[in-house]
Amino acid sequence: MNGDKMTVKIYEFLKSDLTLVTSMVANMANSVSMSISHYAGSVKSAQATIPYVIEGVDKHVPYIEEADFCIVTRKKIDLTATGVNEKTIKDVGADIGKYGYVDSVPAIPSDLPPGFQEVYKNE
Amino acid sequence: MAIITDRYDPKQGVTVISGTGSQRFTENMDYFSQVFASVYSSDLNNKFAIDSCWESGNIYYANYDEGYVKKICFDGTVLASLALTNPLALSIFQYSDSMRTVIPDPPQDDRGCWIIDEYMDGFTKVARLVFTDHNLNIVKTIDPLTNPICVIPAYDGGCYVADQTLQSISRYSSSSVLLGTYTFLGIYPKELALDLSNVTGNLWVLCSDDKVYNFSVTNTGFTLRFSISPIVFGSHVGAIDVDRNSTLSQQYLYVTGGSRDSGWIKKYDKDGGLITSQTGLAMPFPYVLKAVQGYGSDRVYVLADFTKWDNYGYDSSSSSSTEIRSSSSSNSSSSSNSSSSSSSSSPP
Repeated sequence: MNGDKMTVKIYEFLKSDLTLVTSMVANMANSVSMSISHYAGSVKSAQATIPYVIEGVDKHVPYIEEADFCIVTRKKIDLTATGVNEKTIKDVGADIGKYGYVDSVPAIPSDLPPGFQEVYKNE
Repeated sequence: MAIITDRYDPKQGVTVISGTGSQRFTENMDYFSQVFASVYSSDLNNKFAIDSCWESGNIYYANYDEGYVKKICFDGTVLASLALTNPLALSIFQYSDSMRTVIPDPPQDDRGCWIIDEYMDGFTKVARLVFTDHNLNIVKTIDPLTNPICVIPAYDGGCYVADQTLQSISRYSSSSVLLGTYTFLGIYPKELALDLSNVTGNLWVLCSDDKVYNFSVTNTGFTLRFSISPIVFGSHVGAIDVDRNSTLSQQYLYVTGGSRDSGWIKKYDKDGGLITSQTGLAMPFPYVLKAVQGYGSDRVYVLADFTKWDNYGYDSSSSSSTEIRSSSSSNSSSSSNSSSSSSSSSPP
């Protein structure tokens, strides 16, 4: 072994264009190997009914302090349309909302509203 | 009344292991770094001493000196242990042949693990292949082999194994039948990677001539298609890895290496076409040991160790981490290879 000398470094690249994102020296000497895996942790969440109605106005979702909406999917968030929100609008003319997407399909917002975190990144 | 739901966290982390311990990072490497002194391998292990389950996140690692393979959670909790002689390398038989886009809750575990276990036969060092179930119970063995350095599972529960002394790669079926062998002439294989989707796919082999050879994989064997020469002048090729997505157009090969003071990484499609590359990277740790990437991560990670550069030997043909081990001249064959076929040819 090489004593306490740190000799190991991990480089992180973007898969898409191989841009070097960052690097970090590992707290060890004379490395052997590396692996990638998921955390063994879990996320606890609660489902409950609250006596209020929350309305999104003009593409915005009200931010609720200390509320963690961590498990959502992007396709269910489309406040530009007032159709049934559990269903993604894919057909022209299906939007019955006031924005009237008659000749086009409403776009799914590219960024999630405040308080939401996308969990699954891949299609 | 609220209903409390316990959901699986699909974020990923990177684990680095050495002979003195292991360290873990989050996928963004920005927080949560832990050192585990109780999880370590051996300096005699090669870089295939650790592997991870794609979905459950559980980790297998081998310790050559102390003669065991353990299966642990990401937090270090031991799930199972298997005593062997000198386990050198291993590879997990993943739950699915390709990386699934959505991880179920609860996530699926693996279907077992292939292990290279070295031992002494009289005065001769030989090795055997051990296949275990997901609890590290031995299911079958293939014995003896000459000098295997890398094994990866095939879709049917069999495996591909690279042998440095025999300069060959071999394919074994799930019933340990030798289905075929390809022998390189004058060079030896250093690393295997498989982008298998269902039955067919591509087997990539990094060899000692710093080329990567592509084999077309079918349910009965494998055929050499072409080779690529990704090396940057004055450098070495350190590691390869492939995406194993179910979408064929998204299966990419990553090749990385370094020179004395800089590093590089390249990305190829499954037909060997160069997609993009980064060269001349300022990497004071240029000796590349391993490249890994996985489902759910848009990153590829490269492990480098500058102390091994001098060992590698600039402009030399040998490497410390891929050194050919002395071994016997005993035959490398399956215990039941009556139906085997083989081929031998010079690589293109």
